Amino acid sequence: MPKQTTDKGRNKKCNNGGCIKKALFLSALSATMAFSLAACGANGKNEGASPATSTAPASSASSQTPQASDSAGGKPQEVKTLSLLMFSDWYTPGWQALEKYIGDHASELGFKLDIQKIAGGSQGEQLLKTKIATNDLPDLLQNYGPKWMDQNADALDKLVDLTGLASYADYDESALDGVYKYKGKYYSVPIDATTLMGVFYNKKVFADLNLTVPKTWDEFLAVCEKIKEAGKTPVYYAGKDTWTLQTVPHFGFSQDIVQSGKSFPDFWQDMNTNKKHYADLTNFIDTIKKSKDLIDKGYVNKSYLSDTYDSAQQAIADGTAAMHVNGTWFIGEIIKKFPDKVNDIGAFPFPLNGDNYVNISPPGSLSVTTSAKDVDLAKRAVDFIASAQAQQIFAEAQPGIYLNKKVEVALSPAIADLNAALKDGKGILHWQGNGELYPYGSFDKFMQDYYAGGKTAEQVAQALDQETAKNAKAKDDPNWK
Amino acid sequence: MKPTKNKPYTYTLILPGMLLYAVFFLVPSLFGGVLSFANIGRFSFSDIRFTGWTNYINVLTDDYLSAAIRNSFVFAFATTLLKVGIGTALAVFLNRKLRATNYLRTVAFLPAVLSTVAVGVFFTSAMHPTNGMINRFLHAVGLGAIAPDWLTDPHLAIYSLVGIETWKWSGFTMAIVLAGLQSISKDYYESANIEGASEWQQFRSITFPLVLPYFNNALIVNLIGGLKVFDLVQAVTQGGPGSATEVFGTLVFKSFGSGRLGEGAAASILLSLIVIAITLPTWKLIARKEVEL
Repeated sequence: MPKQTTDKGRNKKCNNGGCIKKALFLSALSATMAFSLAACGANGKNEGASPATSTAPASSASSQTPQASDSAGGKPQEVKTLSLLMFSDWYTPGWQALEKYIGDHASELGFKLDIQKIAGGSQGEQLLKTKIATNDLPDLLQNYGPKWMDQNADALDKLVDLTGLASYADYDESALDGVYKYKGKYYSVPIDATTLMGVFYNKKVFADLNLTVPKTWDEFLAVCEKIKEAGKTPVYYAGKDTWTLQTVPHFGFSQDIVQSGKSFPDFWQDMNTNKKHYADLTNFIDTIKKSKDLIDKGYVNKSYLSDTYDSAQQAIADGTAAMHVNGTWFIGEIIKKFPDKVNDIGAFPFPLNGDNYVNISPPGSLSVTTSAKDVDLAKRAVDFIASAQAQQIFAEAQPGIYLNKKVEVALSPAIADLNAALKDGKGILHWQGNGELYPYGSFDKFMQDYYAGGKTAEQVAQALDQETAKNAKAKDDPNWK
Repeated sequence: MKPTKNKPYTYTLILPGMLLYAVFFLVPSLFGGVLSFANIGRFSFSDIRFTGWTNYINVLTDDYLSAAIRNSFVFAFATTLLKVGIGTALAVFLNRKLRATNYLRTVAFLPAVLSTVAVGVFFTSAMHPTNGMINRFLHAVGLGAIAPDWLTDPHLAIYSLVGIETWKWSGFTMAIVLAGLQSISKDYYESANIEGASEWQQFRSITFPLVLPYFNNALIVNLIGGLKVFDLVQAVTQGGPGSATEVFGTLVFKSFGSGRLGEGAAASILLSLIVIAITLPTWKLIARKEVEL
């Protein structure tokens, strides 16, 4: 197992043979993303993006010291403060470390950050949309990416074109296109780590009970049964934080995409033009039912609707529960709260039919807004934040999979486990936020309703269709007449 | 001779008030009405497209509407009944001269001062099925068998919210009714005592009729507050589990939160109509029985 690099161990990176090198897994990641993302931005629209001909930014200046080259002969600079707005759950350990570094080196860099955090979720999105509408934007904005800004907030014109930033040279073009590069222009740089989704498990619990990682649903149930017999909670649900209730069906959704035989964009082309519907996705609906089977069989913590994401971390870390289905941000929290338990936690793709996939969510987006008081400085700041030097600082505080090719960091065992699946070609772009053209309503709430008996699994999928139709009609989409 | 005595002020003096009322109440209300017949993607007038009754149809065919109506009514009527009942009892009790009267009045009123979100967070934790204070207490006194899932049992959750709301606002109702009780002249009771009326007779024939205007006020305020409830539900259950505690307020919030501003406006207008349809007849009914002091 790779040695864990914690936020205290900046110099410890890659100090043994087991260290997973960025170069290795990035090739796998970018292959997956190229497969699924390349045309993603062209999804449902002809945007004229041409990945084959668009070139990475010409400048190849070393991004290790972008400020040195930008600061006009090293003159002592005036330090300006740049405001940066983000959702509070995006203020991760990586950001905390990078913000501190920037604050400590403000005089060299010429800027420091004033990070403003607003609540996430639909409430935060509404606030952000209000700020966009009233032109009350910060200098820098962390966001869901130009596609979301365009389709959900009509605000592509509020983002500054970043094409030509030196740091883009450190990234694979194919990993940027469609997510950070949109309609032929670069509107953002990747920020934070790529999220992989799977089942996180306490390896000690598995070892004590002589259990092996399950590959199929039946094996999974057998493992759950043994853990239950041993008096522990097999699977921990954190239903008070309703977003976590969506995680199991995600893997069924990915199976539907794989089994459709279509590429990710083609699959969504049908969904976004009213030809295919959520209610048609048999694997998706099946996993919705499976997630309840686990509850009915007594494999899930009894007070699962009152228990939180926070308590899930505690339960998996101390081994009172064996497994929790979530994204790699889960490990980020473990690193922060239970650093001594990180090596006890592994991960595996959610077991369904043996051909199991890991869902991939690309990192967030960092953009310069047109409201920036000093656009050049804001661009320089973003260039620095995206550079290998800054990303390395971010990554060491929060080890994970980063798109910057020069970042090298030892992965925690759980992330390495999921990354291994990626390298086997078992990664697929996560559907949410990457495929749909119209919001599909509160999936988490529909799931809660299903568990509470208010909806059937089929009605959960139908509710997603109804919300999609409502939102499509509100935009006068001719496909929903 | 000019009757100046009855006309001390000119109408111009009400202009500032009327202006504020128009800017902050009339105009937004009218805009809300207009918005409910339109689709609007963002906050700009150029973006408005009129869609007729579509928004109203969307609200009235919403999956969660029936749950929201049922829950709003259950919540409004149950909390009004309990708050007015308990509030009146507290007021009558604390209208006596006791040594601890002032202290007890403060204690009873205190929850009304607390932030709803803080109260929500507290009760969310206290009502946790396994680790919550309430169920731990039930287990400790040997009643573990009946310790319920306060907030996650779909049949119970709305009543748990009723309980929290009652706890928070009974003291406020008490304050209203208490003000009424203290405005009643002592003379009535003195003559009643001379006539030999019992305590209950005094309450029924003097206290209750004279306090009815205040009582009416408390009833209507609570009824409107109950129908419009949003903050407490959002802080504690967010309308869940599923739709078990969905109310009109959370439905409106959901529409706005999804960026469907027109639909949110339509839901708000419907809510206003429902509030008016319920409170107006209730108020008239009771007002007829009021006695002038």
